[in-house]
Amino acid sequence: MSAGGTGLGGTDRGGAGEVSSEAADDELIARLRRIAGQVDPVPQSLLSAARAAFALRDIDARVAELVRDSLVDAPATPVRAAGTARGEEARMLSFEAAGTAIECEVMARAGERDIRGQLSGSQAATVAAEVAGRPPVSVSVGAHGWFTVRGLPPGPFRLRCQLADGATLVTSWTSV
Amino acid sequence: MLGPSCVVVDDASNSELVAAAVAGDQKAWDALVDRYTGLLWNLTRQYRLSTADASDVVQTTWLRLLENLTRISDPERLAGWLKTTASRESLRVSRRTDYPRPGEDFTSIPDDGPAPGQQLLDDELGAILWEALAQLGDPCERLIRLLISDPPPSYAEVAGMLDMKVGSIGPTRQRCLTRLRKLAGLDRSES
Repeated sequence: MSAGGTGLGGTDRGGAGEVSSEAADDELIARLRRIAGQVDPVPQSLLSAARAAFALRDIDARVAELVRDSLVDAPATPVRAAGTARGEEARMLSFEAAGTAIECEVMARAGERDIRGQLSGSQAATVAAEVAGRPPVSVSVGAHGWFTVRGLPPGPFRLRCQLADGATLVTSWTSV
Repeated sequence: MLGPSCVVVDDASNSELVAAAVAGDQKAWDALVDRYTGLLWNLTRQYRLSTADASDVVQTTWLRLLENLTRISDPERLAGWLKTTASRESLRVSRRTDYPRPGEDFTSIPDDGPAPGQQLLDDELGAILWEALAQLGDPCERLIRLLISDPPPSYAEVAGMLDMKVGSIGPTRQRCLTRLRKLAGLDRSES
C-alpha cells in the first residue's frame, strides 16, 4: 500500500494542495489506536477486576505501608547464594504502621508464592492473606508472631491482621 | 432516576468521582477505571512486561488508589498519582530476578508483550507503523502510546500523566509523529 492513498503521510506537497498537517496527524493517531486495539488491547479481565476491586475498599483498617522491598532497595544484581537456582531468591518485604512492623519473606515457585512472615510490636489474634476475587485465607500465628501463607497466586496480595487490641491492620497491596 | 448522591459520571471531574467513590458509589469508581485503565495499560507497555505482569501492575495501581482514596489531597492531580504508582510498580516487576537484565537473553521472557512486526495485523503498513512506534524511544514513544489509548484521552489527561503543560502536547505530538513517519518510511518529502 502506498502512503499516498492513506493520508497518513503528513504534508503532501505538489498534490492537489496541502493536506492539513494536523488532520493527517489526527488520522495517524486514530490509525495507531486501531492497531493497538487489534494487537494489544486492554484485557477485558483487567477492566472487570479493576472495577470489582471496589468491593475490597476498607475504610476502617489501618494501612501498614511498604517501607522496604529487597527488589528495589537492594543492589540491582542480587547476590545469589551458592546452589540457588535462578528465580529462587527470597524477596524481603517490610511493612510498617505506627508501632507495628510486619516482615515478609516471599518465595516464588512456579505459578505460586509462599510467604513466611513475622509481626512485631503488636499481638495479632489472626492473620489472613487476601487476593482480589478469592476468599481470604486465614493462617495461625505462632510464637513471636511468626506465620506462613502457602500457595498464593502471583499478583497483588495483602495481609489482614486482627490485632489483640481489636484494631485491624492491612498491609499495602503489593504484587508478588 | 438518579438519586441526589449520584454524579453524572461521563462529564464528572476527577474530584467529583473521587468524592463519590469515597462515599461508596461503585459507578463513580467504574468511571475512574474506564477513564484511566487504557492510559495505564499503554504506559505500562513501555516497560516491556509480559501481559500477565502488566495486568498485575495496573491492578495493583487501582488497589493502591482504593487504599489511598480518602488521602488523595488533590484529585485533579490524580493522573500524575496513577502514573507515578504504575511506573514504580513496573520498575519493581522488571527488577524481579526472573526478568532478563540488560544484555541478557530476552528470549527467556515467558510471555512477552506485543513484539514489533509479529502481530496478526492483516496489513503491511499497520505492522510497519507498530514497529516504528516501538523504535521511537522516549519521550516520543511514551507520549504517542498515551495518545492512542482507548477511550481517546483528552490532552489534559495526557498532560496530567506526563507532568507536561497542556499547550505543549500538540507541538510535541507533531514533532513525534514526524519522526514516526520517517521511521516508517512514510515521509516522502524526506526521501
